[in-house]
This record gives sequence, structure tokens and C-alpha cells, in this order.
Amino acid sequence: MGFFTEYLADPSTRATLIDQSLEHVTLTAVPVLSATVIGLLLGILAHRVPTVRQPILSVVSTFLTIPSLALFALLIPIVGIGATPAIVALTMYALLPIVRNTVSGLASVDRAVVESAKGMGMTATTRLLRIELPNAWPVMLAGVRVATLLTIGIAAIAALVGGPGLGQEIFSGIRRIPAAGSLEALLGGTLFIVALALLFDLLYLAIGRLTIPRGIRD
Amino acid sequence: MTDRANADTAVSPAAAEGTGSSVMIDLIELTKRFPGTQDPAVDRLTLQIPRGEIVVFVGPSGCGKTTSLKMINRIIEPTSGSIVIDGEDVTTIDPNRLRRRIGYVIQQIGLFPHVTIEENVATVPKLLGWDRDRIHARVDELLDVVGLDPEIYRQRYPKELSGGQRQRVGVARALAADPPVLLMDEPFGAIDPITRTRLQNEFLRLQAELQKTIAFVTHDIDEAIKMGDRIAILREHSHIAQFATPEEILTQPANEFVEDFVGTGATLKRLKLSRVREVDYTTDALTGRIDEPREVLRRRLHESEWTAILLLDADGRPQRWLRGPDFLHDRPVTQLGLPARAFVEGHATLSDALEEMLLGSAGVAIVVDNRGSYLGILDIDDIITSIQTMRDADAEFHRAAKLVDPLDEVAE
Amino acid sequence: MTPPSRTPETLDEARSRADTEDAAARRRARRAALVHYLGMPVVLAGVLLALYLYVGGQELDSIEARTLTADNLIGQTRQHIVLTVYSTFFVLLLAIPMGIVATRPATRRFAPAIIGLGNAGQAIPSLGMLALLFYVFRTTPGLPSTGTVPVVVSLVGYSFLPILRNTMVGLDQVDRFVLEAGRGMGMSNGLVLRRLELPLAVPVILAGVRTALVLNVGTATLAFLFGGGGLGQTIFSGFQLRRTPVLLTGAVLVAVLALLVDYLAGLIEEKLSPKGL
Repeated sequence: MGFFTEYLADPSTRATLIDQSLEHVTLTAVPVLSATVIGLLLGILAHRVPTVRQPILSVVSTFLTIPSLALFALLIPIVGIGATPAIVALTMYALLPIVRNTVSGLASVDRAVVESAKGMGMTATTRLLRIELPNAWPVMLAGVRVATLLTIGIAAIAALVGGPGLGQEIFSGIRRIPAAGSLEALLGGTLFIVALALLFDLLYLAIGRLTIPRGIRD
Repeated sequence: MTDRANADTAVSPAAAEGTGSSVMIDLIELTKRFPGTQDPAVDRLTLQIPRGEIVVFVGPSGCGKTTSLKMINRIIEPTSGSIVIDGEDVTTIDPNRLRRRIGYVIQQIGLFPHVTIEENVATVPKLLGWDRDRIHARVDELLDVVGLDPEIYRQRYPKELSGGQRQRVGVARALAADPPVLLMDEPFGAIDPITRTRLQNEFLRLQAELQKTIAFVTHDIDEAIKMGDRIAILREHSHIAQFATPEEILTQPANEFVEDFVGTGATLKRLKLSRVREVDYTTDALTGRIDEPREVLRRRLHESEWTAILLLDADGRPQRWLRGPDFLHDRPVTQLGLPARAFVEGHATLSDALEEMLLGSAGVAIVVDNRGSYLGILDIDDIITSIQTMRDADAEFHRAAKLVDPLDEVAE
Repeated sequence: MTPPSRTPETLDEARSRADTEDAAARRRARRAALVHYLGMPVVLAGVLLALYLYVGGQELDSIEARTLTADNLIGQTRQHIVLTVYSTFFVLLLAIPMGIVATRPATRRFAPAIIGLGNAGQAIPSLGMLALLFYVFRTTPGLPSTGTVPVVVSLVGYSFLPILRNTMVGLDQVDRFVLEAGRGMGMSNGLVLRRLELPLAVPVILAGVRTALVLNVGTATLAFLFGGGGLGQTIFSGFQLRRTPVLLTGAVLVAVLALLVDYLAGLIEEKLSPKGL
């Protein structure tokens, strides 16, 4: 592994990797946050209105079927080159796990719990905010976590069509295969992405600890 | 019982208007037709629930009893008909406002798993905007009432409680804002038989104090007989097969359906209706203080016509049974004979007492007050006498029923 | 208690009403089935038509005209399909038997570790994984360094863990009570596998086929980076040459192909799944 430590020891490489990591974090966090807001609303809608449930789930799962390079490319004529098409596309991808888990999280709340809340005279909104969402939260959070993992990986492909992030380092390596230095770039970009994924996972672990009520923690 | 029973038979809906009436819940032509079904689940149910009474809806599964109950707080909206509570027509008022005045206990309990016991109990008071101190005090009071130490349980979560404890919390939560009306849908249905009996007894004791108006659903006729001041036996579409006191249902079933539903063993069931305090149990049994000298105790037993002496502690709580031969052993009095067991309180049913008696070693049940102090002794003969009395009363009843209009209330 | 009064209805009226209701229900069901089976193909055909009209309406410059030839596009589509089919075939050939072996009672204790590895594998970006696998091919003497083989092997390498993981999770979910009942009736392990688990696992395997197809049709878009061709090439050319018609043609064809593959795999899954499940 000597060659790899040499690669990492180079200050300019390190600076590039750090810059690209930060870009990659943004490229992940912005779509995940947007998708969480949109997905939450869609999920609640799908839970409350059974007739739109299947259409909503079908549409968001269709998004995920479209290969990422194609979706990035489709968005370029509309929103231009750079980070924007990637952010829009990644938001679309992140929707499915979030919407699906919101729907199944809300559906998994014990009917007796909801009925007793109703029986005590809670309005529909109070019930949603105080009873249903807190109880669905562990499942919803798991959906956000899956969405994040998905986004981190796909975000690398944005580099092929001019997007930011660690995909650029991988792409620069691919263009040089099998020349010297290409393996380092491939490994560097890939391992940094894996490391980011692990950091995000730790973050979700912490968020879970802080936000999941003690009564429904495992 | 007689005056309350008479009160509702002839009361028309119009006469029930206004508070202070003896009718608390008035269901008028209540009908529920679920979309996509031909027959109504509940068909023009008309029923009046007197203030302060437990009315049990009982019937085979699918008869519409739960639907009927859930229309009272409009968890299920009636298709037609009206609901009048305490003189106010609540059929079209804001359902949430209605529900905050009605306690609701369901079989699955439905405690909120994500909040503490305290927050569960505080739900309705919070919705009603009580201040924090008042809520806090109320929660402690209620946990105490249902027999859970607030210090221990206030901050626990539902998953940390047993089924019986959860149902106690469910009852406390339903009582939180002191609603005049409680709806209970098979509240003890999912609990093991031993805990169920205990909860039923505790609940009856509580009700004797609180005097809530309660609609109670069960599929178990024994529970209905035990819990109900009045029982509505329902058949399909919630048609009332009979609406009467438990005594009347057991002694004078209105039709074959009721007879079949009540089933065999009506006499044994009636033991659930008679309370120990209503029976002429022995109050002059031979007793002694456990700290008296053994020679004194021995002589007292020897000189009496009793075969055993019951020793009480300083507070009058029964401790041990001693028979003559027990005095031959050279041990302190506190280790002689058998420990006293099989305690029943005055409100216990004869059925409970019989069970205690059969389980206990002495073949008798010791009647105690609510602090556990000795009141008297109940033996198997007392129960047999009481059954005999019931039989005689039945015969009397049937003779009387033939003479007067059978629809009149003649109970007791 | 009197029975509920209903509006009197003659038998004929009742019958004709029932007929109308039936007919209406049948019409609704037919319409739903029509949307279900024809919705996606119609939409995809519409998208292709729109693309054709759009590109046909453009004044194509020489570069665009040279890229967007029928030969070119058909060839790339064929390559794309070949890569998808080969990689799906081989990954299923490896992952499904392994999944079955890894969920046997004797090996079950390794299952959580393998599933955990599969979960962790999700964190590896497809681009990096494909590139690293391809690098190994290019730099290991004796292995083919160009053409379809290294690309298919890379695709298989990338999709192996997720498919294995899905298979294992699916098999694990086969109702344990059913299996216990089978053993309780005295069936041997082998018999339980053949009579109960495999039939119950058919949906799991079919779902695996669909997942693998969709996954591979997507990753095959990156094959051009490693000399494997496919429609990704047109997208990338369009981007590099700043030619929107080329970019869009590639992107639309890839998207339509992926959705079509998913649709067909879905139909197969639906038709072949045992009815009782």
C-alpha cells in the first residue's frame, strides 16, 4: 500500500480530495434534505388518500429506474451544466426510499393507538404531529438513511457530465487506465466516498439516538 | 336498583331533555350502514343508559355491539338516528369536542408507545388546556386510584409494563379529565383470567365511588353479568333481544335467543350476582389475639363448641387457624396450626368466595374489611342456603310474573 | 324487533340493477387492466415519437448527423442489451445458488455477516467499483483487456452483492411457520427445500431477476468508459460535443430501454409468480 500513502502524502492531492469531499457532502446533503421535505409531504398524502398512494409510489419508483447518466443528461438542457442537474436528479432518486418508508412507517402505527387518540378527541392534525409521525419516525429515518447511501454513490456519476465531487477524481483515474497514478485516483475517490458514507451512517446513528423516543427504541 | 330500573322504562326521548334527568345517554333510532353492504350493521338501535350505571352490550360476534358503542363517540359516524348525551344532541357537534368529554377504553388499550405513562394519562387534560401543576397532580391521583405507585410508574414507558398494568393506565387515561361518560370496548378481553378478575373487581370498586355512566361491550355473558347494572343482549343488526338487569336476564329470559346465549349454569352464574355482604355469614366465630398466652387460647377453644380458633393480630387481621391438637406441639403460637388464607371482602361475589374457599385449606372464607380486618366467616353452607333462597325467590317471581303484566319491572 | 324495512324492489329490478353494477365493475376492472398493461408501452412509444419529431425538426450539423445514424444507435442499443442480458444471467447464476446455500441450517450462522457485507457494499459507488474491477482486468497479464468480457465481469462484480443480499433476505422471509410445519410433518431438510422453500422462493428469485436487470441496464450505461460501448456513449458524446440533440437522444433511449426492461421484467414476474402468494 506504499504507493497509496505516497499519493495521499502529496499536499495538492490532499487539497483536491478535501475540496471534492466537501463538494460531495453538499451534493449529497442538499438532495437528501430536499427529498426529505418533499418525500414527507408525498408520504403523508399517500397515507391519507389511498387513491393516490399507488400513483405516487409508481412515479417515484420510475425515477429510480432511469439510469443516472441519462437523468443527468435529460436535465442539462433544462437547468444547465454543473451541480444543478445533479442535485435535481439526486433529489428525484432519494424520493423513493423516503416516500416508501414514510408510507409504511405511518401504516405501521398501531391502529389501536390511532383510534384511542381519536377517541380522546385529538384533531387529525394533532394526531399526525403528536402520535403518528413520532411513532413512524424510526422507519422514516431508516428511509432517509437509505436515501443518503444511494445518493452518495450515484453522486459520483455526476462528474461524467461536469458535476462536482469525488466522482471527478475517479473519472480522472478512469481516463488514465492503465497509466501510472490511475489506480491511486480510482482508490482515492472510491475510498473517500466510502468513508463519507460511513460518516453519514454514524450521523444517522446519532440522530436516531437523539430523536427516537425512548419508549419505541429497541 | 328498583327505583333506577323503573325510571327508564317509560321515559320518552322528549322527557329526557335537559340535564339532571336520570337518562345520561339516549340513543334514538341509531343506524349504521357501511358502504357496499346491503344490510345495516346497526339497525335503528334505541336505548337509554341511566346516569351512573354500567350498561353492558353483549352478543355474539358480528352482532354490531362494537359498532353501536363506537357510534356513541362517533368513532363510527351513524348513518341516521341521533345520540343525546346529558340532554344535548351531540349527533352533529364537533366530534373532537364530544370525545374530550367521553372516556374511551379499548381492548388493545392503545397506549401511546412513544411517551411516558404520565404523558399518556395527561393527554386529554392537555388537549383541554389545563395548567401543568393541575395536570401533574391529576396524573398522580389517577395512578394512585388505579393502583400504580406514581413514583415508580410516572416516568415509565408502556413497553415496560405488563398487560394488566397497561390496562390500568388505559383506565386512568380515560378518567383523566373526569368525563361523566365512559365507553369500554372489551376492556379486559386481552388479559389473562386471573388478572382480569382482579381488574374487574377493582373497577367495580372504583365505579362505586365514581358513579360514571358506562357503556361496556363484551362477548362474554359472565363478564356482562358481573359488570352490568343492566345488560342489553344484542342479536344481529344490534336488535335488542333483551334489555334488563342481570337478575332478570337470568331468571326471566325474554326469548329463546337470550336463553341460548346465557347458556347453562344459570345458577352458578347467579353466584356472581350475590355479594358476600348480602349473605348472612357467621360473625361470632371463635377468635383470639395472637399475643395472648397459649394456655388462655387453649382453654377458650376447649370450652367452646368450635373446632378451631382464629388468631388475629393487633389490628384485627387474621393470622392463623388453630385446632385442639395443634396445642400439643411445643412451639410458639405464631408457628402453630395453619396460616389464615382465603380472604374475601364484602363486595366480592359468592362465586369468588366459593373459589377462595375451595382453594383455601380450611374450607371456609374469612370475610375482611378493606383494611384486612376480620369481620366474619363464610362457609359452604352459607352459599348453599343462599342458592336455596334464590331458587325460592325465582319460584315466587314466576308466580308473580304470571299474575301481572310480564313487561313490568318486578325484580327483587 | 321488526326487521329493517327496505324499499321494496321487484326481482327484475334487483336483477337488472345487479347486472348494471356488475357491468360497471367489469368495465372498471378492464380499464384498470388496460392502464396496467398498456400504460407504460404507450407512454414510452409517445416519448420515442416525440424524440423522433424533435430530432427530425432540428437542422443537424455534420457532427450531429454523423453521431445520430441509425446504424450507430441500433448498434449501441444492441451492445447495451447484450451487456445487460449477459451480466444479469451470470450474476443470477452465481448469486441465487449461493444465496440458497448460505441460508441452509448449516450455514445460516454466516448469513447475517454476508447480509451485513451486502449492506456495507451499498456504500461503494458503482463508478469506483466498476473502474477498479476493470483496472484489475487491464493490468493482469493473461486476462482479456478489451471488449465485452471485462465489462460483463465488472458488471457482475458490481451487482453480485446486492443480488445475493436480496436473495438471502427474501429466502429468510419465507414463512418460518410453514417450514416448521413441514419439519413437524416429518419432511427431511432436502424435502422441505424442494417442496416448500423453493416454491415459496420463486417470487424471491423472480424479484431478483427484475432487480438484476434494472441494476445492470443502469450500470451498463457506464460501459463505454471501459470500451464496452452501449448507449452511454451517445450521451457522453453529446455532452462533450455540447450537442443537445445528441445528448437528449442518448438519454431518452437509455431511459426508455431501462423502463421497458423494468416493465417486461415486471410482467414476467407477475405471470410466473405462484398464484396463491
